Amino acid sequence: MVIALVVIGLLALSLGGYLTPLTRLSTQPILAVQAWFARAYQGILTYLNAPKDVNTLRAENRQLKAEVSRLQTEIVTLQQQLTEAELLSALLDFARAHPQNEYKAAQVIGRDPNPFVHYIIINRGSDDGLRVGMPVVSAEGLVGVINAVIPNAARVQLITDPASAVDVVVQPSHTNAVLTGSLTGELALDMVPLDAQIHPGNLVLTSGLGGRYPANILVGQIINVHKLSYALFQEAAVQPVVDFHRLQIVLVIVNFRPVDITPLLKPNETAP
Amino acid sequence: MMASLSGLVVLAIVAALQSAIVAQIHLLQGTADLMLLTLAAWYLHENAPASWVWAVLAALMVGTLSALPWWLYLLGYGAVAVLAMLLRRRLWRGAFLAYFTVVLVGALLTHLLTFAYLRFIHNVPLGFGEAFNLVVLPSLLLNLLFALPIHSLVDEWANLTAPAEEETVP
Repeated sequence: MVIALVVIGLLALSLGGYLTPLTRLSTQPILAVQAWFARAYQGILTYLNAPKDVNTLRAENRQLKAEVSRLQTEIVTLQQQLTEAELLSALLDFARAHPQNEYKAAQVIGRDPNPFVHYIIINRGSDDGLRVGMPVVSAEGLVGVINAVIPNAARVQLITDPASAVDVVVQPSHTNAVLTGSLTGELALDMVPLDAQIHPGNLVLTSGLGGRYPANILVGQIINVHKLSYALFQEAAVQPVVDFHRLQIVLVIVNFRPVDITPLLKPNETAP
Repeated sequence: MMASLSGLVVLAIVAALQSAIVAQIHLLQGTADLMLLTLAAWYLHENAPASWVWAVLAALMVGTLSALPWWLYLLGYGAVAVLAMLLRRRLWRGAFLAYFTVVLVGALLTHLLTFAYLRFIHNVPLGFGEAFNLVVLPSLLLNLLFALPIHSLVDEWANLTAPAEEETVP
């Protein structure tokens, strides 16, 4: 009975808030000791687990780095494949636009080591049916002509080569001219009659004259015209449609047979 | 034997690198001549077996890739070989001086020969001033830029394949 009365009294005092200072005073040392134990336990736990965590993190980091590296390689590969697919798609468009020709795609694997001449080397040769004199084009337009062939490679003379001369026609005036290359890779129109109407922006296409190239392949666009009253011909600078520095894949027109007109020229050449 | 076999492989690699990569590194219209740099460094190395075969092989390899005839390269690389063998061990502590001299003279001669061949035998309309300013001078500069790393690599290769013979004290 007495105990019950004491308990009830203490409860009443506690609920009334009269025991709070006493409780605080008695729990403070206990809590301090508990906190000290907790901190010590946490320290020991950290000490025991930390090396394991660092090792795990390092392993994870290595794994993630390897994964990032693999994904980056994959991205580069996919980007390359995408570029190649775009290139092939453009070449396919070109081939569809000129259905009269048969094409053989080839990859550019090198360039002439000598800076005086402009040639490229492609990875298709006589084993693939390529022959000297076959024209080479890209998705944009005319690239050049095959100059030498071995079983698994061929050398292509670019139209920018200083020794190159292509018979072309300027549209819309239907003016025939000769397109020559240069040391700098710039193209120039020569042998244009003074009365011919050619203007910047006119398109330059192969004419098919001379029998070296098929007709109507886009070559470039006139960027400026030099016309001197006392000159025999007017000249023009041409911007090629093909970026010769970035050539990767080209098409060889395999069903074109070049015509050798040299025997026809000989009598004139030997004439006094 | 080791030097000959490795030399053949190295020359083939150099020719491939020249065509696939170096020929696309332009300064104006000029490019470096990796083969010439390699040959000059090889012929100037004091322990490397100096033989005409290297110049002939190099000319044949580059000539195969180029539209220009192989004998044109043989003339150029032959001149490099002769000059290098003349200067070999003659310039005391002047390995780099000899190397730069051979590279400059060899490259200049090769370009002049090429120009003369195209201009006078094939009648290609090339202007000398244009060729000199746009091709020859930039090529010489690029050759000098590539010279030191190529020299170091060839030096290492020569030391590896043709090590110096130890002098025996009587």
